Amino acid sequence: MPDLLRIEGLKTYFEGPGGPVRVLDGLDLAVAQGQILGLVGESGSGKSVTALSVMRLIRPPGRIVGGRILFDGTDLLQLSEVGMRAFRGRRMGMIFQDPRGYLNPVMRVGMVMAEVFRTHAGVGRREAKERSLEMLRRVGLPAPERVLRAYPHELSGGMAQRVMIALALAGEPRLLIADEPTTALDVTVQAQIIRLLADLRRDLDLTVILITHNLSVVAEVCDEVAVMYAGQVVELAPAYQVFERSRHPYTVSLLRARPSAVRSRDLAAIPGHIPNLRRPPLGCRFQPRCFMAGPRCAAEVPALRHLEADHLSRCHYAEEVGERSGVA
Amino acid sequence: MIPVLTVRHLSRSYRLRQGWRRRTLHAVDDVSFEVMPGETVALVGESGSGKSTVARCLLRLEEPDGGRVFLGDEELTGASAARLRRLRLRAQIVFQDPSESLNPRMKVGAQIGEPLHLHRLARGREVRSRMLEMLDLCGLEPQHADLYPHQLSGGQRQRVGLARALITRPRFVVLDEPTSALDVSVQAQLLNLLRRLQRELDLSYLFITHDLGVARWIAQRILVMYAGQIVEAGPTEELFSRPLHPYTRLLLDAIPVDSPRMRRQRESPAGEPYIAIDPAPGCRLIGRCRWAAAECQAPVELLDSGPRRLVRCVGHFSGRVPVVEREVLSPSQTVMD
Amino acid sequence: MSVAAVADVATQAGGRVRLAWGRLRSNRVTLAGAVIVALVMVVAILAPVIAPYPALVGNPAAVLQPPSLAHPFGTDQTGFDIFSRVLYAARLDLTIAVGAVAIAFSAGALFGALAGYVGRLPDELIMRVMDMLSAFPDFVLAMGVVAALGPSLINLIFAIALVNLPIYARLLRSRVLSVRELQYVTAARAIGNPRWRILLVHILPNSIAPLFVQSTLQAGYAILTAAGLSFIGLGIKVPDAEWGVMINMGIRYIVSGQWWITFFPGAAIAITIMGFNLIGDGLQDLLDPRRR
Repeated sequence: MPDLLRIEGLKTYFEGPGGPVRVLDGLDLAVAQGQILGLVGESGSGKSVTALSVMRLIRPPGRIVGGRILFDGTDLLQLSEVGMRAFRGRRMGMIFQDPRGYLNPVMRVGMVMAEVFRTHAGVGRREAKERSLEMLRRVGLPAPERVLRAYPHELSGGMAQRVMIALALAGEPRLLIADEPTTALDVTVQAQIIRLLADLRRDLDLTVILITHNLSVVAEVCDEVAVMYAGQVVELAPAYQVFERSRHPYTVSLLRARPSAVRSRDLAAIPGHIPNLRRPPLGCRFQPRCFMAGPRCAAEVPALRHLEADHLSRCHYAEEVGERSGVA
Repeated sequence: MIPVLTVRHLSRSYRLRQGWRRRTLHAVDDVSFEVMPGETVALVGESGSGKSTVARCLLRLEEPDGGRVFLGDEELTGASAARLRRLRLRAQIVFQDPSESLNPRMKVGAQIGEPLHLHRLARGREVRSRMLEMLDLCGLEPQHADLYPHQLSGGQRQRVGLARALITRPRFVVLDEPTSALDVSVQAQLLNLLRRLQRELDLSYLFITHDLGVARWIAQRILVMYAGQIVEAGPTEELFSRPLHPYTRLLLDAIPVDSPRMRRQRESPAGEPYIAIDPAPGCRLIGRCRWAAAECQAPVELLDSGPRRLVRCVGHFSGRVPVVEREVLSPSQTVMD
Repeated sequence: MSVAAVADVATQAGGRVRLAWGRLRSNRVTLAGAVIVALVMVVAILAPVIAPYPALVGNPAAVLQPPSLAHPFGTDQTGFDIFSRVLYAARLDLTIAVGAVAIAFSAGALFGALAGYVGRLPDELIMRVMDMLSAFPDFVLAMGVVAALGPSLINLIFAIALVNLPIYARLLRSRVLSVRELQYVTAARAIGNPRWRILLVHILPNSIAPLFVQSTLQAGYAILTAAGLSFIGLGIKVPDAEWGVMINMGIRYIVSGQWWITFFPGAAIAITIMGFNLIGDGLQDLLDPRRR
């Protein structure tokens, strides 16, 4: 499968009084057509900024200062704002953590949806309504006519997220970026939304980037996983490999910090905290907190390198991660 | 042994106005349980289950409409304002969002020492030394005392909240989703800390959470709440391996797997959490339960089902709802360890 | 937390004053406002020293003279030196502004806090009285009060304070209503704070900032109202040195071309109000501890 989206050396900085904050500092990522890529990381790792950069929705004081974002071969960073508009909604859709916050509170769902269909598909009023109903049915809303007449505050969190998904898919995009789509939802509703995303991917041949801090959500549904730390991707591999044979100490630490990882003994917390992105640590960015750090780690910046054809890791000692962490 | 906390028939409802209709939300409906010395009990449920309302009613931060709450053998409900203030020394609460539960205009040290001032438990230099001791116990540095909350990270702020709750040396602490605003790695630090403090200070916890993984790690006993009622209670491992109530099964099935290796075909849980606004007398899971039948429309009691197990389900006792042993992977099997 | 990080935050705490100053400086607009108000204050205090002529002794030999080296702002019909009187007037006008704002602020805050925190009957009573006060057009109410009590400096200040009172009361009430629902207030109750302490220590400090911002705007507005009242003959009396009085005295001469009599006191009012307003714009930021 060819890559639908390919990000190379992306740098997004936020200007501040003490110099630029390098929120994304050389981010590399690729997702193949039809795949679900899980983009995981803790708060401050730059996952959401990655999504906004791809959509070119970064606002001042933020600024994309370098790199390439190739969508099906087109470098999005070379496009004009007008050219970009043809991509947003029509080739790439996005959904967010707090769906109700992204719906205009004084507009009925039907009005919002009709508007989207009329701009994207250029259809008339009646046709737009038909398509809205069909799309709402498709995202699993049982009474679409009632939903069309509802205001956002009358929807539950799960229903609102389904409406957001319907809106994002109205322009028939090929890529859906979902930024923490289930974080604000209850666990039973989360399970429904995850299932929905998997079904839509299969039925519409959609490519999905699922941004989350929840490793279990990734384990449940993703084909590929990219782990982010301090503005960079530190590991990129098929999901199975990341969870069973991780080749980066940060990923291993994250997996072991989960309460489900051990039952009775203490959890393996990661010491220290995320680095200051104005002055990131020398060498490897995870080195000050790493259980494997050696002299080379502070001296030399590790590159994101291939260990196998489909397994990339940004660690000098990637080959040894398995043995030294006790991971089988 | 006397329980540190005894709750009997606790209820709390809210009157709502929807258009011209007056309706009643039964946020907490006849909840009873106890917490034994040194024990951690987890109260799990989804949003709207009433678990946080229980927390607030226990310390009378909100007045329950009915029911009684005892700390040891002293009754909290009906206590005068003065006695309530004294009783609150023995039971404390830590809130979910550490950035909202601290006064933004007060230095951290002053906030931790405040309970000592208020209850005249110490004065002057002693307040400071006890505050610093608590700071240290909760894994913070003395320098942190002179900072404002916004200068700390989320995890550090939650440690401050914990230090403030523990400085009067309570025996019982309500933890209301204390880690749900934190990252996994920070959550791990805090959970470890909670467990260490429990041992060192001989504490009992009521741990309120929506995260079953966290509940399983920290609690010996679990209470499952749905739409204002406790629907199932039991020892943690038993409840996970042999859930009896259909809702508990729904909940356990909805937890995403720990590793792609464990993916399995399963039904997507039906419906969304029910909010008990003018509820019908019967079971509140009716719309989401695959075993729902006519008999479920009669009022349902929380009844014993074997030692230390309680279930609120008619179908369970009439044998309609089959009991299924869930395959629970042992910790060494689950993930890396 | 590493030692370096601790040191890092420690410097943050120590350098808070410096930081606040740095931000004040970086916010040029606020700084400009502060400089203007400070200048007006210095002028008010030093008026007897820097004014070339007395405020209330005219020179009959120099009547209605245009601005010149001897009289930089010219003279009026009684031979008063406009420049000196503009300087002297700063004293009265600032007294009125600060006095009226201080009274309105304290009384309004007291009522607002009570209404918001206690609720129920006190809330109803206080807020209905505030509604009554704001039912009148501001200027008409101030006029009525001064007319009823008799024109004097004290009554003028009182009248302006009364007009502004509901603004402060409403503002604080709404802040208290929202702050008292915040989690740290619940947390304060949980650790055993008595009611009065919750209000004074945990709610008020987190609610009062907008009132300071409002005050800077109201100070400017108080000067305008005072000038207006003096202009129609209520409040400060001719020939006392007050900007409104001075405009009143010069109004007849605008048509005949002696613009300087009204222009300079008018400009003084405009500049002072602008100073207060500029401070207000940036004050919100400076008062928020999270942005220090």
